[in-house]
Amino acid sequence: MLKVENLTSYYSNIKILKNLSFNLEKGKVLCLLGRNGAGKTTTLKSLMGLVDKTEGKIIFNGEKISGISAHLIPQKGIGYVPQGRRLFSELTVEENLEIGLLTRKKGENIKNNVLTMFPRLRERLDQISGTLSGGEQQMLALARALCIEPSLLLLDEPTEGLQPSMISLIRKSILELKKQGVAILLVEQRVEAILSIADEILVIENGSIVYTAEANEVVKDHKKLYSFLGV
Amino acid sequence: MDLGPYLLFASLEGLVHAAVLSLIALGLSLVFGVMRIVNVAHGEFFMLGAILAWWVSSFVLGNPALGFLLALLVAPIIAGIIAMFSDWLILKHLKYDPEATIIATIGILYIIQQAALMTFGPDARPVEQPFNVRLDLYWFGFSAYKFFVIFASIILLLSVWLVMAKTKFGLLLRATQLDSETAQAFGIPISTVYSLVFGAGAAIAAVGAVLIVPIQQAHYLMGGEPLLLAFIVVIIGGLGSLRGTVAAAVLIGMSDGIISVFFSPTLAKILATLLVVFVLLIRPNGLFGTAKV
Repeated sequence: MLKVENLTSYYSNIKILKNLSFNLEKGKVLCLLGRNGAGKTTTLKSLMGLVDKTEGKIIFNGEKISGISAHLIPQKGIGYVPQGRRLFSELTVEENLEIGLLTRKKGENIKNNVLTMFPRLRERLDQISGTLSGGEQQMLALARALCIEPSLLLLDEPTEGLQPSMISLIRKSILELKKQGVAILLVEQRVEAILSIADEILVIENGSIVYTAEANEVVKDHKKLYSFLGV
Repeated sequence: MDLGPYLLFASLEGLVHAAVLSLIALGLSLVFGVMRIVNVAHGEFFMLGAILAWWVSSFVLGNPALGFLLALLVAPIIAGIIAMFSDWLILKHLKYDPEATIIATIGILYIIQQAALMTFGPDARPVEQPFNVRLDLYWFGFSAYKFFVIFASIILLLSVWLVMAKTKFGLLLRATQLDSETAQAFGIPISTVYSLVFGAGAAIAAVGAVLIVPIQQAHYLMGGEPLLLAFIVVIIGGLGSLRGTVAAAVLIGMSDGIISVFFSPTLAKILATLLVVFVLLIRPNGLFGTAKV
């Protein structure tokens, strides 16, 4: 489904990612781990076409998407939940969902499905999104990305700053999406939050992949992973 | 004339001024709000609207109403196209960098100004009013056309508000204004949005010019003063706030009109500039602006 070959990204002339290569299959969860500033968010942004200068190849569903304009990426079926949610904070919940539906024709059906998944948002459709609680904002960020009906979902620290009940709800949603066949590329800081949902783990350090493992291997032996993360 | 009627007269003059100023400032505010660039060339799009109004109406001499209607249609379109071309040729390549675009729009200002001078000459050009009716307001007579200017400006302001608040295109603009990177991640083609907004900002200023040019005259240097006042308006109102822009335009336009009638236009400008300093000290983001994190 997603094939990344020698992805190199720059901010101005500074090389942030160095020859990243990995694959992600349908219905699988690939988790990117790494310390702050390692290049995890830049990896997701590069896949979304939001980094000015990239090299290498990104192939999604057999089509080369590297180099195309950022606004064409969601049309291909890639949804994105940015770090810090990045809601359109002065727009209502409904307007945020409308933005998510821009690339889809059967908007009303999709919106209903998404609101069935997050019923609390249905009660708050007219509320300005910036006034929602942190957990509700994260739900909305996820719901907005799901409005694209993605076959690949990029999640950047979706549980950051959330209370345990919300983390469990987000985790449940990820598992449900995985069951539906959505491929998920998940960036996380908290190892324990992802071990039970990830299929594969990638550790990035200074823009390069330094460790890869199947999640079940890591479950058996944490030590090596933790040594890379400095835990 | 007694003080009361004189004050009413000055207020009406101020309202006409405020109406046109709100259109010019609206264009400037729209461009800053969505694109985050300070368009120093904005006054030249206003000037272009006025000169094009004279040029277009000169084709239908003897029928000022038709000439005016034609100008109202053609001048904003041409000003908008020139603005979109400038965006495509220059601003896009600067990646809308806030500092670089200030310098670039100063360049655009001089190019448009000197092109207007070379094409249409240095003379002030009069444009006839589309209708010449004088309303008797008991104490004094007042041009019906000036009421039309106020009315037309209100209609245009309401139309822009409706587009922004109630249409899908307005939703795209607001989303781009709030977070252009995330907007792209949801399929919004921000370079197209920027181009349209830059064109629309210029076109709205040009409409203001077409409306005012039968009262003033068209001249290639007429863009400077409205630009200064429009900056004052958007700073007082809050950069990027449409509501604030209209409120500040009424405040500045009315005070400018009244002070100009009672004292002098120079004093009006001095007081408006002092008001900016005062507002910036009390509310650095303007009356209706919000702090961006």
